[in-house]
Amino acid sequence: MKQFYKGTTATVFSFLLLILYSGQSVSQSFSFNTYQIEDGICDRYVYTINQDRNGYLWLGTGGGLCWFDGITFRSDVITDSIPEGYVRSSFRDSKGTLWFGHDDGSVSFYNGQNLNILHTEGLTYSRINDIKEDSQGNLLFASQNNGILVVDPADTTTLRLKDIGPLLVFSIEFTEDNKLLVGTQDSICIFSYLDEGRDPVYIGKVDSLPETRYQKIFRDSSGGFYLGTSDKGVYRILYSEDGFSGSPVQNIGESIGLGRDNIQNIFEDFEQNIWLSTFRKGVVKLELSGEPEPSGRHQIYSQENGLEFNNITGVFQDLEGNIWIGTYGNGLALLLNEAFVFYDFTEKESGSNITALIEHNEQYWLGSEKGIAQTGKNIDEESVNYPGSSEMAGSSVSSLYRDPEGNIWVGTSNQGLFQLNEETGEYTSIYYSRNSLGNAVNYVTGQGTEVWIATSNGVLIYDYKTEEILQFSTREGLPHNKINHIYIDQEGKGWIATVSNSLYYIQDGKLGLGAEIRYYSKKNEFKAVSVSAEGDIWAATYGNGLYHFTEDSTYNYNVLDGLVSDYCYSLLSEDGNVWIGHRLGFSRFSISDTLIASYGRELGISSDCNTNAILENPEGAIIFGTNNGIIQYDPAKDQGSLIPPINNIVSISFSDILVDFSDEIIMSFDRYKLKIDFIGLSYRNPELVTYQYKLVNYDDEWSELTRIPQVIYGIGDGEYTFLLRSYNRYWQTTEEPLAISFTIKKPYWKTWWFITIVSTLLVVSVVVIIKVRERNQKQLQAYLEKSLDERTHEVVEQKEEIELQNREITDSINYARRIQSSILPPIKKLEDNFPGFFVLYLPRDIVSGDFYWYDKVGEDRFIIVCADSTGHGVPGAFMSMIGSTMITDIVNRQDISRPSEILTILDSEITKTLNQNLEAEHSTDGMDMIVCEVNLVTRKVRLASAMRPIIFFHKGEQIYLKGNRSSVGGEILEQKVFEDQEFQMDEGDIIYMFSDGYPDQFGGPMGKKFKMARMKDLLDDIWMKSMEEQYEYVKNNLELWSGDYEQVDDILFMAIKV
Amino acid sequence: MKSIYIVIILIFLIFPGVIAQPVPAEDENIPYLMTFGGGGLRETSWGDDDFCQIFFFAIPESFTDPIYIRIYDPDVGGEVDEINGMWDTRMTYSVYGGRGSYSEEDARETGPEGNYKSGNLLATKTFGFDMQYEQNWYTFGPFNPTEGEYDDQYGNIFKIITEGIGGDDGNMYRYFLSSSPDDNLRIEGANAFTYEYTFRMWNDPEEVSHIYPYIDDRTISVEQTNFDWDSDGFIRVISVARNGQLMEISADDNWVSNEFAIREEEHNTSLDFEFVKKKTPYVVRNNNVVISVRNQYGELLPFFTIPIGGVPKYKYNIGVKPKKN
Repeated sequence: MKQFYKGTTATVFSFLLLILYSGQSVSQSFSFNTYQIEDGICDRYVYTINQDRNGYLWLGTGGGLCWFDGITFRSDVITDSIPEGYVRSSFRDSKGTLWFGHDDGSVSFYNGQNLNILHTEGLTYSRINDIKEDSQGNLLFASQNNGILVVDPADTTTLRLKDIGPLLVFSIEFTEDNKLLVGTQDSICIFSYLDEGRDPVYIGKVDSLPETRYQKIFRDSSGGFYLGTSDKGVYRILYSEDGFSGSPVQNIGESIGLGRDNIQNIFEDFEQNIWLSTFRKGVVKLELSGEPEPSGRHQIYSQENGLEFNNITGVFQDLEGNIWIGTYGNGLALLLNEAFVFYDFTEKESGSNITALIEHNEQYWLGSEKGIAQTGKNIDEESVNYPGSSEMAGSSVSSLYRDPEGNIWVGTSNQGLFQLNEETGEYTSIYYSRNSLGNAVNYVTGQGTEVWIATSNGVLIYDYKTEEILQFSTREGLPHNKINHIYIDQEGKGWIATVSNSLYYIQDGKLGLGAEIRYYSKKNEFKAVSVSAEGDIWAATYGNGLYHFTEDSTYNYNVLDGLVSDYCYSLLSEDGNVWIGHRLGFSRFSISDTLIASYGRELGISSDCNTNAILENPEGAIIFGTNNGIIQYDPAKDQGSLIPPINNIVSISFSDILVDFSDEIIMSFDRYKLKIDFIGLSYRNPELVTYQYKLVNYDDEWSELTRIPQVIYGIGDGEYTFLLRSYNRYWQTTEEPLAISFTIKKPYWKTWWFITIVSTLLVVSVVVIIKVRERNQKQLQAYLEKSLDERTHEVVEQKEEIELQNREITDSINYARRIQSSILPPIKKLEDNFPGFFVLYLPRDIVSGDFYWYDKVGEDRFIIVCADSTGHGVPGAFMSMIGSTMITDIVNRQDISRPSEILTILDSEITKTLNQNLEAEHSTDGMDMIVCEVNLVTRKVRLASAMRPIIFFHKGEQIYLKGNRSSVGGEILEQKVFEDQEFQMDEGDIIYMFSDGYPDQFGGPMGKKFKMARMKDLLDDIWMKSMEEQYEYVKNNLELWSGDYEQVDDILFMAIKV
Repeated sequence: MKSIYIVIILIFLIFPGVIAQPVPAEDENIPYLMTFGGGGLRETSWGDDDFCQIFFFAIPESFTDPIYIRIYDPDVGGEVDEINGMWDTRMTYSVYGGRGSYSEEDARETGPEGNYKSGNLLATKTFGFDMQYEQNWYTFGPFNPTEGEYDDQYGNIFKIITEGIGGDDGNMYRYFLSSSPDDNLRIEGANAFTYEYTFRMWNDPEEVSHIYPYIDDRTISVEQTNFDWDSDGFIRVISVARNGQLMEISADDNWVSNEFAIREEEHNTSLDFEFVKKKTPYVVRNNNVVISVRNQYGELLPFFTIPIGGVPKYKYNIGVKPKKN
């Protein structure tokens, strides 16, 4: 399956064997952030850049002043009026005040709160080209046509113009001995400068300098003067006690190719490098590296290496160390990070996809899809190319290894392993397998004479001296055959990065398990592995971030901890850091503090790190091979990372009303919605600044980290202090948080005087209320008593009246009762004609509707009537009077022979009598009645009844007779028929007649009517008793039955013993 | 016919400036601006009365890109200049902007007197005999257009003063207002003007040069003044209402002027001063002339290189008289 070629030179085309010396240089580029009109900058023309005491950047532009917080440009400078002329120059004095010179000769300054305008009318009218501060703190403004304007910052109302003659002034600077240098249209003039308000005295001009316009004089930190000209580049000259006379002039411009160029500005950075701003040549940095004089080493930033613009007005370094570049017509640019250098190989024969790289003796070998390129110490230097051979066609160089003897081993993506002969440029195939997976070489490394090859078909260890081969695959115990990386540690262990949760190593020809991810079931693929000197194992994975294995613990770090991505492609551990390559960026893990810094698109990285294409060069820079060239990152140049953000409060509003927080904030009470906008100024990565805040007296703890520069509270009265901390992307923060205090006054109802007043008022109110209530109660009581008396009196009067009326009515009824009683027949008649009888007559209301009538008719006939009139009381009594009178009348008529005739005639008479007045309502009044005729001789009895039953006992037998179904009088519903019933009684037989009052009486234990059935039983029980006993019994029974129930109707109960 | 087209195309390719924004402009058909050194005895008979030429460039307000002022053959020496003895002349070009650069009255006069260098000096350069710029371009700039002086009528105005500061040679040159430092790219809507024109006449008598003073509605009459015309041919004025009115012309090293009334139709238009060389009895060569025009108030009228309202054409009035029986 495998074939090895030893010393076999592959057949290649002769022309491909030629080493091609490329004349093309690699394009080295830097990354910049640019800010133009669409990003919010006021104007495309940036004349000056400065930074105020709060950390904000100020830009003098063709559109006016604007300031920048890293994210937003603002031009709403607080001032009453802005000069018409835009800002040409700026200067930050020793007290931190920013001074601005305008194009129309105006002067303004910003003291950290407001922009103030100085009125220079009548003194200057041409542009202020330069600003400097003298030894006494006075500000000097170089007016191009009008000399030098002097302002005392302590008294800005007094402006003085110092006459220096008919010179056009472009720049000014002081010497150490307080001489004033003036850059004019054709020379550098020297003046003695007297602070006491006198005009400068002309001494002479620097004769050793050429005639040209000197538009910038800059004194560097070593005391030398750089002179920027309009068309002769830049010069440097030293000043001594003898002036400039003994000092040679250094034509810096000529030495760096700027001999005829327009130098707009000169700036010295924190590292004493000199930055030259030019028109049409971009920015040139003279790299002094701490030396006082320039050596000629310089770096150009221009359109050719990423700056995009060549007309530069000035360079400025902020407190964080960032380099800002003001352009003339193209806005602002920020050199993102000098630590980054991007090498573009697009036009190189090797191509831009750098898949492998190694370094030795300050030489680099770069592997790509097209072969190998060899460069010098500077990667952008001209290089030697080793194009791939025909046997390598279709594959790319996936890995490079240089053994101790200097042999270059070349792993390819699908053609196995080769060896490069640098002298001839030939590639010799060392390993080729019939198994295509074995030809996919992912990584090559080695130790001694062993070459370790990581393939997609396992690990091969090839000893090029003994030609022995060892293979490790799944057969030998590896968890997977796809080997991504091998790292050989100091002990000679070869650590295997493969698709597994375990890290195996090979040592002395044996496979061993070195580390394992436990309690993790997801598929894991190690892309790269490294072992530190302390024995800690670092492993980069494809999807699971970074693993750190110590002797007894396993740690995992992912995007949540700050990695650019969980997908890692390369790994390098060095000097306390672990570097991890990702797509579109890389990460740095700091071992000492376990913090992760990410480097991504925000830094201009726009390419993907290739697998295991990573190294550290002798200068300590980390070099990544990417799919678009090389990224070189030098941590030593990344100084800005140590500068924490500058905290600032942007605005404070209470209930959406902005307040001036420059003074003490004391707010009257309200339930405020407090909104605080803040910012941590970090221009390097403003979007990665994170914040923590705490409102003392409100929050118990610091807030969670957030990137939202705003907080809203709902607060009441009290004293508060807002604390703010901000962190840059490297987690640097200031030792002391920014603090701003404010007070919200207590509401008046919480003040002592208010509480006292209210308490007093409350007590007084309670007392008053009680008193008032008492008074009202008394008044009410008196009123009620009075009303009650009146009502009582009224009721008593009414009662007396009613009683009087009742008494009169009762008297009247009693009188009527006497009348009614008078018409009832006397009991004597019954005693004279019958052996026994009783009559129980109980009117319900004094007078009764029930009545009885009897009389002896003829010789032996005795007629007895038992009647129950409609109603009771007075109406019943009326009816009984009518009935009794009519019965007497009817019975006395000769032609009446039968009881039924009495009923019939009585019915007719009553109906007629009660309906005489036809206009009145038709009367339905009538009466139930029993007419009993007893022949006293024969004891023959004839009975006629209207609606009333009759009970009699004949020979001890109870006989019950129903009456006819018609009443006498009343409603005429049908033809009334009254029938006679005739019985032959024996002596001692008893006839019982009664109205419905007795059987309808309520009572008994259940409150029910007595009913006819009980009547029958009652009579069965008593008929054999004497009539007197029967009377008592019937009467007592009624009382007993009624109990507490009132009598409901008139009661008439008659019994006649025949 | 086809060969003529090819020649024209070649001309445009070889001389791209022709299609750029030159001073003098195409419509003027003036070969070169001319300024003498002014050194020594300050001899004016060469055709330059004051050894100074002031031009203004007007940039439309809407144009915000950087601008460049380019000078063709800025040095004094070589083929495209006029030698007097030896090449010893120094010539300074200075660009001004800002307040007063245009509005200052002294800047709009014929002679370099008073505060004619008003405004902010934006750039300056002095040339002698410099082969680097012999028949080559020197570029001032870039300039932010708003660094000029803003004028409601013309936009942002820059001033360029070309002044001889030594020697007595004649400097022949041209300007180009460009949006590029390396090429002549016309700035749309821009214009250039001067109040006194000093230029070189063609040697070819068939060539007719023009200048175009602008007549505003305040103008009732104008007075043209010319210097050192060497009685070379004639000057005639053409306008929408004037068809070739002849002007007086000066002789060697002397001044002459004449006045004429402005007609109603000529208000808010440009006049066309045609300079026609004489062919007989001899052709005057290397003739440098100076000309200016003032209105009835004594105010100088600007010569726009691109005539306002276009090159004026006389409108013929065909009079018809009723036939008499």
